[in-house]
Order: sequence, then structure tokens, then C-alpha cells
Amino acid sequence: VTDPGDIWVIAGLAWLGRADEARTAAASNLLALRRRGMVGMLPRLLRMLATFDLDEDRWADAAAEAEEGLEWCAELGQSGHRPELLALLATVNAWRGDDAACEQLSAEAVAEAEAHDTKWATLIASRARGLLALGRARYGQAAAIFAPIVDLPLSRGLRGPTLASLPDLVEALERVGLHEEAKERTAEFERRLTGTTDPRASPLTFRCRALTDLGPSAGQRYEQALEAHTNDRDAFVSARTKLLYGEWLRRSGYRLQARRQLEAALEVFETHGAAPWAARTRRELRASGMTMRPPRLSGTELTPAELRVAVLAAAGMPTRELCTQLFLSPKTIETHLGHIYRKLGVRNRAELAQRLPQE
Amino acid sequence: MFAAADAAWLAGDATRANRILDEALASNCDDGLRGRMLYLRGYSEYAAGSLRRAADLYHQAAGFLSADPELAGRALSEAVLAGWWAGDASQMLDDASRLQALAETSPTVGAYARRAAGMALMFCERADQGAPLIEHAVAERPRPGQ
Repeated sequence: VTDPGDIWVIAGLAWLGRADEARTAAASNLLALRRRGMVGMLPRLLRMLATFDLDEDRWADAAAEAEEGLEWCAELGQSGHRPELLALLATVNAWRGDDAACEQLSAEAVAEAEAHDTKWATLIASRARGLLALGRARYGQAAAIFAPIVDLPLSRGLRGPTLASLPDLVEALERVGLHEEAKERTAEFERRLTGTTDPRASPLTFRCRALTDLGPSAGQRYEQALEAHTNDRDAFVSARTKLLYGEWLRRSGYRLQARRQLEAALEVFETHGAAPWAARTRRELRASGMTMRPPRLSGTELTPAELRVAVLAAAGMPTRELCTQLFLSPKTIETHLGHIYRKLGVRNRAELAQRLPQE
Repeated sequence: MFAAADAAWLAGDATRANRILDEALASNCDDGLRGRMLYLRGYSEYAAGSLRRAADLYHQAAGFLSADPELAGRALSEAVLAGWWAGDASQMLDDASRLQALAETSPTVGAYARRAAGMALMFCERADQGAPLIEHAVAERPRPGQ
């Protein structure tokens, strides 16, 4: 009988915030399913893996997995997994600042989620629009999107859309001057975190406290948040704290310290291709009196299709098997591998296997 | 027929799997086999149809699987996950409680029950009660037949 036992273990790890373990288990299950030709389970596993990669800042991986998941959904007629896959892609586009793609994918996800009763996917898709608005500094719109998501008394820990949106709502409220409401939401966040084991809980709590602290002790709270972030490998979440801290330092007259935080944040945002967040940080750096270099262009990023080939090739899958799994001709696989080698500066699969985890 | 349907499903041929299952369900078969068929049908509905109908099929499957509590436990676990995706906390709690009633039948089902209860409680924002249950269940990592 089709055994989803491993899927429940993976889901359990994810709910506990043990994202690395969940991701490793999901990736190893996915590889085993591919090798055994059990493609019927692929959309579900790809959906999980894309969620974990998105949570852990591996946006290119998440996009590649979600796109492959959508292809398998079409191939296998498993439309029930589409709403979440679309919502995950909407989120990647929100972080990267592709407004049109984010809005379109989010709308598709919501429409299809209704047909399949997948309310959770609706929440992920709505949150994507809120993140886009927040990145673009449209704070009023962001607050209006986040509030109804947050108000649902449902949670999948800090990695689910409801609880994860609370710190974002606090930021948006504070920026539109609704300080008392932001403080209430901070207290609500702390209350709703009770019992959560997720390592992200502590830094986000300190960040919310710092945002709503109008006195000089806000700086100390930001420092506490950054210290707590060292327990979490989540560079993007940490960079967002640095941006907020940098903004606070500049407004408080500490220009040099502000630049240190903002430059560190900018480095992460540019590496991730988080255009709206990088733009917001550059504006702040300019306001601190710094002359800005032009945005760094990344011409070495793998496309979703290249990434899919790269991951499987690095795992040791021979070309013949790659063709079968990805429904591509040997010539297309070789072309993809050529592009991958050039972009990553490697010469063969062994070097690719060493290099890929860093990418 | 059940094995053929399961193999077709895993190989990605949901249409063939559903055809075999519908044919088999229309014929006379014992409760155990009917429960297995309904379980797989629920799986297919989960992937391509309505989560609510999928949960319904899992409930029906569990009802026919009294002689196979482990599979009944898996069907109810799937219903719990369907409740999560549907954003239906009360369904999750109800199904977790049904699963709890089977928990004594084997250590594996006991672990399924703890994990389901933990998720349902966390979903209702009672992480202080839910997280330890999931921790416990994940540490056990049960395998079928264990």
C-alpha cells in the first residue's frame, strides 16, 4: 500500500521548526522515489521540499521544485497540489519583487484552492501579496493584507502563513504610525508563540519588541535580536532585522553604525536577488550619506530547469536517467550541463557535486 | 486488483488506478479489502479532487479496517493532514481523537496517534501541548509492521 509514513515524519519535523532535518529527509525520499519510478508521489514531495527551501532562503531551489511539481501535476492529473505550488511560486516572486508574476500566481492559487478546499494554500498566496507590499514599502496595504491572515486562530508554527505574518504586520503597523496596535500585536505574537520550539521565535520576538520600543533601549533589543539570529541559519530573516536596526540607528544619529548594519543587509538581499529589499536598503544607505555603487547584477544564477538538472546530476544520476526523470532529450541535458558548468565555473560532475551545496 | 491499483497510482497513472478501484468497489468484497480500496481512493481524491471528499473517504476506509488497525490509523492520519490543508482545526481534532481510540492496538498506531494529536493541538495554537507529542512521535519514527 502507498505508504506516506515518511511524509508524516517529514511533516512532524517541519512543524517543530527542525527545517534542516525535514529538508534532508524530504530530499532523500524524493531521490528514492525518482530512482524507483514512483512518480505518483512526486508532486506531494516536491510541494513539501519547495516549502522547506522557501523557508530556508533557497529560493531558486524552491522555484525549481515548485515548477517541476506543477509539471508533474499536469502530467499525472494531480491538480490538488497546484494551489500550494502556485502560492509558493508567488512567494518567491514577492521576495524577488516581480509584482506582476506574484499577483498573477497568487490569484491563480486562490481560485484553484477554492475548488480543492485548500484554505491553507489561500493563506500562503495572500501572504505572498502582503510580503510584496511590505518589500515595496506600501505599508498600509501590507497591514490590510496581513491582518485577516493573522487573525485566524490557526498555526503551523512559525513556518506557517498565520503566525509568520505577525512580525510582518507589526513592522507595517509601526511604519504607518499605528504604534499602539503594533504593541498589541507584539504581545499577541509572544502569547501565540507559547510552546514553540522554532529557533526563529526568539529573534523575531526581539525584533518586534525593538520595532515597538520608542525609547533608546530599542537598540539593545535589536542587538538581542541579532544575537538570537546566530542560532538560526536564516540569513534573509536576519538581514531584515539588520535593515530595521540600520534604519533605527540612522534616525537616531548613529550614521556609521547604521551603515555597517545596512551594508551587511544589502549584501544578503543582493545575493538572494531580493530586489525590493535591496532597493529599500540602498535608499537608507543614501540617506546615511553614502555614495552607492550600482546594483550588482547576477548573471550566474541558474534557471529553474538548469537547477533541476544540476541537483540530480550532482547526486550522481547518469544522463540516461536524467532524460527519463525530466522528460528531456540527451542533447538538452548536455546543453543544460554546459550552461551549468560555465555559470558555476566547474568542469565536471564531481566538481559540480562539491560546488552545488555552496550555491 | 488492489495491488494493480496501488501500482498504477505509484507509477503515476491515476486514471487507471481510479478505474480499477471504482470497478472493485462496485463488486462484493470483504471489509478489509474495501477499506484498502477506499484508503487508496481517498489518496487519489486528495491529490486531484476535494480535500473534504478525501477526508470522507479516509473515514469510510477506517470504518472498514477494524481488522487492520495500522492501516486504519494511516487513513485517519491522512484525514488529519487533509484537515490541516482545509484549514479545519475541529476536523483535525476530531480525527486525532478517533485515532487516539486505536492507539493501544500497536506501538506504531500509538505513534501515529501522538503525531496526529500533536499536529491538531499545534494547529489550534496549543503548541505547549502539541510540540512534545510531535517530538515524541518523530523520535519513534515508526515503520509499518514494526
